[in-house]
Amino acid sequence: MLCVVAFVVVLVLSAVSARYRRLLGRAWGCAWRRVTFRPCDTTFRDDVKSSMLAPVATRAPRLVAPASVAIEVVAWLMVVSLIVSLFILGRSGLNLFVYGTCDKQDAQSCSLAAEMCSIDAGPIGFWDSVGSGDLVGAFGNEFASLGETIAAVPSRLRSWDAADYAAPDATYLGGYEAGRPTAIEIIDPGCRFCAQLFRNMRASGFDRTHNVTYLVYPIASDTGPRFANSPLVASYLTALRAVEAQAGPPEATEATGAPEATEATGAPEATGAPEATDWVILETLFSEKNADGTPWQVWMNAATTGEARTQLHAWLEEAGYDDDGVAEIAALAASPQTAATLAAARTTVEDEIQTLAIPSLIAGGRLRSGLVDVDTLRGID
Amino acid sequence: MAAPAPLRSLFGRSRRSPGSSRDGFDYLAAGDVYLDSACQTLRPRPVIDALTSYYTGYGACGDRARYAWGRRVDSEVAAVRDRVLSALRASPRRYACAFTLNTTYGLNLLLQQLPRGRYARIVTTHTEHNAVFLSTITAARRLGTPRIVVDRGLDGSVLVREGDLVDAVVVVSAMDNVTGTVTARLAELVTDVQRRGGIVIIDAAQAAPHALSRLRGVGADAICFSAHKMYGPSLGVVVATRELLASLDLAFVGGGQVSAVEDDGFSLLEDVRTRLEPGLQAWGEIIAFGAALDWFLPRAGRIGEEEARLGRRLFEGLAALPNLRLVNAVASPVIAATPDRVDAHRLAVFLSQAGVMVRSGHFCAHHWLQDRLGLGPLVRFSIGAHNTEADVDRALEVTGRLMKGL
Repeated sequence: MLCVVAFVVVLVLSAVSARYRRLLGRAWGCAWRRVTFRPCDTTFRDDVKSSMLAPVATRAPRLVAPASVAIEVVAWLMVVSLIVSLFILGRSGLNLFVYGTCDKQDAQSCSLAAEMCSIDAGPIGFWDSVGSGDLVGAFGNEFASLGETIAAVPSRLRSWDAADYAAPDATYLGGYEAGRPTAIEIIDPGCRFCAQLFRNMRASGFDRTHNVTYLVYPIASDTGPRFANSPLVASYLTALRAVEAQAGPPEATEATGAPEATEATGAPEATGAPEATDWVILETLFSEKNADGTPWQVWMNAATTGEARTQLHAWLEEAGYDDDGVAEIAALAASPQTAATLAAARTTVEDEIQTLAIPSLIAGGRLRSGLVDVDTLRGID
Repeated sequence: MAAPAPLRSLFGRSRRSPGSSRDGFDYLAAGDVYLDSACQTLRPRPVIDALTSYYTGYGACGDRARYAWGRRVDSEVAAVRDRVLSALRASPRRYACAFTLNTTYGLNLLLQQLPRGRYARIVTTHTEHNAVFLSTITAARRLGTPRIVVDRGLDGSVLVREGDLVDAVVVVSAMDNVTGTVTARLAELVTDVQRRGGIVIIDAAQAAPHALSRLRGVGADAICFSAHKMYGPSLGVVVATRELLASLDLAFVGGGQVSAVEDDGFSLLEDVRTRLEPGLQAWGEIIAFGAALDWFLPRAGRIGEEEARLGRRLFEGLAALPNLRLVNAVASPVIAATPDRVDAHRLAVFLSQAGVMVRSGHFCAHHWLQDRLGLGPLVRFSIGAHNTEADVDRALEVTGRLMKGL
């Protein structure tokens, strides 16, 4: 292993010094024979080792034997370390290409990834498995995860059509207009980057050049939902879509029109068809603040379920729903039908789109993981 | 050679004082113990000065130059040829001196250009340096003759049957480069071969600096040796009979060898030493070799006695060490040994770390040491004129510490 390590060292040194470039051929000859499981037939390995041992030999000859063993052990460790590093580098690069994050287990921790709320849905981490004594499982999970990533590569190379993933009762930001390309975002109502993406769409005018719809995906974890009230909000959004797919938005919505643009977005008001109520709630949640000046999304993430439900009902009433309408939506939100719709959306996100980033945006024939900035949105056809 | 000053200070060594006992080697650092003279001797100051003088004073071509520097070069080179012949007590009427790159080159120039059909066989021994062993293989192939490889006696004598000497080309060393054994009864061998119509070519690379007197009057058809093993610059020397040189079937030709050139032929110069000197010669090195002879020959006796004394001291010291087996049966200025508990190359690196420079490997005697004796790499301590008793003691001290500790 010493010659493999020496080759790597000489390779690095030869980048800056011609002196080491002359050694590169010998080092490579030796390293190549080693990696092809043949004995090294050059003296390079011995030369390197002898040079390292010489200072020890002249001071304490008796330490040469243990030092020789130590050099071999360190060389092995360095080679193993090199192999592991290369594996992690390759795996991370592949993950970055496929999922937009270099770490599937903790997508948000990847500094190269876009800003996102991660879906930490990967298998148990390698060291967690090792820590629990499951060495076979540790390697098994590692390679299974890599296999999944490799299997997902073709999907990242194909052309994406957002319309393929839109719900049958999908609603569109600002209303659907024929001729515009469809864009679909995958969102969690509690994720601050989804709120930012919404504001970016407004600021860039993306919502006026595309028919923007969404799949709602409350991020789950081992201990429950990532954002406590996201499942509740998601169920109301889903119920609202189902109701308004049949009856359309209430009159009040038409009367009030689309919500006013916030100062933050600076975008002009949308015009045209009445805004669907689920988008009205999303815009309020993502763009507006309560009387205390707290953004509604922040408030919602900290609220109890009861408080959240009450606020949702209040927004429905503001949107024009009477008590019976609110009760109908609340009942539908708690129904198996809505649960099934949410489960189907979850399956679409996890199995078909296979994204680990919230938000994700399918637009312009591509899947973009994480937050998309204003300039990028402006450049999407 | 002395290391650059920063390196020297790193290892705590210092230069010898000008009044050092090392006559001619005052430039050596005190901590440098060079024990590889069998490969190449160090050059005494007069040799270095002569080479420098040529390069800085009259560094021109010899041969056919009509200007002053060229005439001076020709004059000095001719004087060196005379001194070489004189050193070997070789008659200028019978012998000529040519210069080549090294001993190997000289041997090959002779062997690869021997006339076809003239010789019946090539004879050599198992203990030869690759310069002889390999060149006789290819020469036998070219000539289409059998090649006979014979053993040597304990005294280095060549154990060959008389019948094998008929019309034979016998190529042997006068002193081996592993144990420093001088070939016994060399003159008798030459007489026997020549009486039977053969020729003898001697590899004198080791003998020239260590056993010059054994080469004198030996009557061989050619003697090849290296100036760089004899305190001179890198240069090969061939002293051969004019008859042998004239008989060569030249295959390696060029400028400096011809008097006329036609469409499809050429006329060679009458001076037969040119047969081995195609192209430009190493004029400066030849001239500096003259200085080496001037320095060495008056001291040869004293140097030989000192080398023998130091060789005995080194031999006895090494023989007493554990885990080190000597190949030599007796003391000589060249001592080879196999270490038991450490690879010889690694031992050489360790010794070098302490400033003791020795050769490791098979010393270009692969057939003898590796193929015949089955030995792994060895280390070789070889003594030269620059070495002192302190050098030997230092080598023994460091080697002893390593042999006991490793």
